[in-house]
Amino acid sequence: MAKIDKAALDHIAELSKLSFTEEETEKMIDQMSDIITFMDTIREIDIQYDDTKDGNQIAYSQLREDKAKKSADAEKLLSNAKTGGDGDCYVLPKMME
Amino acid sequence: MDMTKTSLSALRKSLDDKQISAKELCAECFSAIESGEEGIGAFITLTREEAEKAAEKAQARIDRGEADFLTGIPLAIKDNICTDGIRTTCASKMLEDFVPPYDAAVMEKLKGQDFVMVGKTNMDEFAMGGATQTSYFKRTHNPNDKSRVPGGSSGGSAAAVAAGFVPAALGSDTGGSIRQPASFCGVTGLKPTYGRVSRYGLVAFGSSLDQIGPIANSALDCGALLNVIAGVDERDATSARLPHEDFTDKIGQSVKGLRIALPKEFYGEAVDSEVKEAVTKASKELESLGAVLVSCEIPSLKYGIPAYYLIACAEAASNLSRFDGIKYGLRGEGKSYGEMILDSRNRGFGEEVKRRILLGNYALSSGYYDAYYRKACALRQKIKAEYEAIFERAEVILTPTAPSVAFKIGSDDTDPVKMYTADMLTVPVNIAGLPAISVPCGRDKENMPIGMSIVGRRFDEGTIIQVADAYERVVG
Amino acid sequence: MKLHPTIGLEIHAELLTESKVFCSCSAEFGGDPNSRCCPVCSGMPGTLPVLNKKAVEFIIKAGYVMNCDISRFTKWDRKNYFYPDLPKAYQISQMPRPVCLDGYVDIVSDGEEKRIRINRIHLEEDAGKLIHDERTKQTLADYNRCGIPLIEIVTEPDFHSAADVTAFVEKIRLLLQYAGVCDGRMEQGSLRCDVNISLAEKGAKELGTRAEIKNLNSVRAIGRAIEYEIYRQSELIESGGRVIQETRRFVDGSGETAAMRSKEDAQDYRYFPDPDIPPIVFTEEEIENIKGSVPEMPESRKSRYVKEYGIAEKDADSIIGNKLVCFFFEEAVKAYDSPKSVASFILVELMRRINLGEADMNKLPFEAKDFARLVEIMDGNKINRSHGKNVLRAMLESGKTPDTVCDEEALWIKEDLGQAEEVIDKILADNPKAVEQYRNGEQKVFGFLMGQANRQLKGAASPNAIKEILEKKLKN
Repeated sequence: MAKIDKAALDHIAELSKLSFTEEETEKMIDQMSDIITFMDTIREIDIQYDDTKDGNQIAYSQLREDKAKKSADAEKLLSNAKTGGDGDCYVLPKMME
Repeated sequence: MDMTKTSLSALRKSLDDKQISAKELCAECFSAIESGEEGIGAFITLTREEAEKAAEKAQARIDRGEADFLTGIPLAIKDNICTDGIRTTCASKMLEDFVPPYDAAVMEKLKGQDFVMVGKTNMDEFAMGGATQTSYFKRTHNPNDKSRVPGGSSGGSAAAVAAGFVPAALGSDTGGSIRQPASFCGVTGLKPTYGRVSRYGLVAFGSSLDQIGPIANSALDCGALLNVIAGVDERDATSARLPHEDFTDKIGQSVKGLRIALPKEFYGEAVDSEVKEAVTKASKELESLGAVLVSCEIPSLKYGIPAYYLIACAEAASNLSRFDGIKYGLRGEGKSYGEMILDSRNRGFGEEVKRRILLGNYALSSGYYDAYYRKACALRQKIKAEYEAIFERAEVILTPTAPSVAFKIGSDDTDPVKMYTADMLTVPVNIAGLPAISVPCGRDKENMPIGMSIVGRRFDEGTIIQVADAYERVVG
Repeated sequence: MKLHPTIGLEIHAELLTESKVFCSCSAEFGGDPNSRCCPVCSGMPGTLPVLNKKAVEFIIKAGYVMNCDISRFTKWDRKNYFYPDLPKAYQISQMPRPVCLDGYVDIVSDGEEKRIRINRIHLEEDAGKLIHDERTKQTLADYNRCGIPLIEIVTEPDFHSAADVTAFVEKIRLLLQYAGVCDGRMEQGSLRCDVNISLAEKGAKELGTRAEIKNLNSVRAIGRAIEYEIYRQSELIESGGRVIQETRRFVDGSGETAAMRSKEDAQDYRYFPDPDIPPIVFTEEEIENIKGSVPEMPESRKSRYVKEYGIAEKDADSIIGNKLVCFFFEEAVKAYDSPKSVASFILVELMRRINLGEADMNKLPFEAKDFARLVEIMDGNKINRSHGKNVLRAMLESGKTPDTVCDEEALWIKEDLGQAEEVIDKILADNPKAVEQYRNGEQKVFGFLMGQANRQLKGAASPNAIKEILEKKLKN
């Protein structure tokens, strides 16, 4: 049984903001089905997750003190944006309201 | 100078004694790169100009008698570690032109010592792969046999050290990406305990698994490098608040009485017999030094790969969502935001990255979260507990680093599942957040290097470095 | 068929921290576009969030004043969705383990006391701002607001009218202001409200299909939007139609709600724990300390004013209705312990100046103790009461103390009793008829005589002294 059909692939592709040509879709369905079949080995084991037992918590007292620091230089920050115009904002094609 | 046979401390001494200048040392690296890089492809970006400037600055510091351990020492940096003003691509088309406006925490530490960065090394795209074949820019070849892969994802860093381009390099390890290429290339690679080294500025793949670590020619050099890059960082809340320590302190201490666990699952059918033999032989060498071999089990190891891929890919899917063409990276075409972002991501990411994003979003999506992501988290706790049980009976664990030696380029390109299973011996260590060092332990019939991993208790890098060093000494 | 509305709220309140919730950029409102940004809040690859302690303190305070349980173990999750105001393409929020759970707030609506249950309050980050440029057909993104700390207060569906909701929102705003965690400026967006409304027959087992009206940013808009939505849904249902589950917005001009661009299917946010932010644990002591630092809430102040000070309930309401006025009142009472007259002068004279726009509670040019001194002067008949408001105006204009104003304007009553006796003797002598009338029991002529005396003795004696002398002389 294929784990993933076209509708399922389309759905996760949409969540991932990716799209595929028909040819790519076919290949991806096959590969993702194989991968998910493999991942399904964990379904056989019956254990519960307790998120309080990860042992990675920190104490409240270790949190960052609320002190504002100088922000980065906007020009340098924006230097990787391919905006082609307005200096101090990021630019994208117009969104619908 | 043969960089592969010169330790960092020897280089330090040569520089301090003025037997060689920082500039000359830098030039030696670049001449080695010039003659050897073409067949290897270890680097994405070479930074000769900056390196020469840094060497000059380092020399002035040496001349003032204020040299630190890495002052004037040339190193290569994996291209997923952000470098202020120098492009950082993650071997992805997406970030082909990305020039970070800031330095990673480890870069600040290295620069603070006036090291010399030779270049940014090739890797699997966004560190997703185990062979350095998914890079958008080039494939990296194994210096031991150019028809073979160097391993990955830090294949460029491992190859650069193995080829003698640099005495050491930094890599990153999410599921074996330092240890496995070190093993394939015949060099030493250390993955520190999760939290030991700040992740600030490391472009995230699997945030709960990623660690930066050194690749070098010896355990001692790895320890010395870790001394520089380790430490709490207020910009990384997952970095551990522990006092500074010297990770090479235990070197030279006897391993007599030290218990070394050999979990039987790591010596199973999936592992090549030549690899098993080499690691078993190494264990005997350590036994001959007085160490005690302990047999043990990690029953959940078989779930390691799926648990790892589900967690890593879920985190990656989310981490890589920020690449939308707006702020940096490849800017797609399109009349609307929706078209633009799709085009950016379709063209910017390679196939393996897309597969992992899809898997990650699948594991997190409504209706599947409990069965996949949450179950993987439960398994993570179980695997951790199994390691803890072993560490009650032993100080370190010894396993093969990879099931095989470096394979031929092109042989793993088609089947993702096969590719994933090859990580089975390295990922459990990341799942449990443990420190591990891969040390060369002989060669197979075709003269390819074999690596073994010494895994330690959390934050006990000192002991695994001690054991690795003891082994290096006994085998010469 | 009588349809009965059921309403639930989600209120977003920006916290008054100095820095952002996950980085150290200023959290102040406004600024030039992208001038309050850094690699972290603009979503650069490799950056990591570090949680602001004050933001956590503030949400605990908010939870405390809303009678919530404070979790001893709390953690943050990623809410994944693509939108250009969200640079990481995920919002750091809280899903299964919010800081605050299960609280309630009592309100009075339509003269009836009602208890509104709070489901949860969690801490998250705000998103940036988008500006849509019609002319260039572009959207501009400003990330200054990215990372401003927000709490989201989620209520149970315990409201059944617009009046319930507006009373609640007013109350919440006041509580947050008094707790010092949010300025409650709805016009600046620091307090925003989403409303869920459904209609069903009274007593029906199941609620109707609900519509959500997003981003209401004034109490008036909330009231109008709810009234309209109740009307719209009743019309729809009564004419045989069906309400569809959707997100709507309120159009201020028409007072109607309109469907927002429809989302084909429900969003799948793929929440999962943010691996970059370790879960937080509190000690009992830490929580008690935070609770203990919360100032007295308005309700308790009000009952104190009524019971201890004898202030009318309506006046007490007016004082607590504005935190600045209330704090000013209490400061003034500290300086001059006559709460009733202080309250009355604040509510009559000071509030009039403020309502006329002559003064701003945020930046009064004098301190509460100066104001108290003025009331004290008037109460002590040191100046003519009718001069009091002129002194207040002068104080507002110049910031001078009341004593200085009275000096400069020569307003002090000298209380020259000798002169008063003399003048009154003369008045009585000049008006024998009136004196006789008074002695024959015509009390009202006292007013006439008093008026004469006041006029002639202005500034020389206080009305009280004059009255006393006059009464004494008439009795003889």
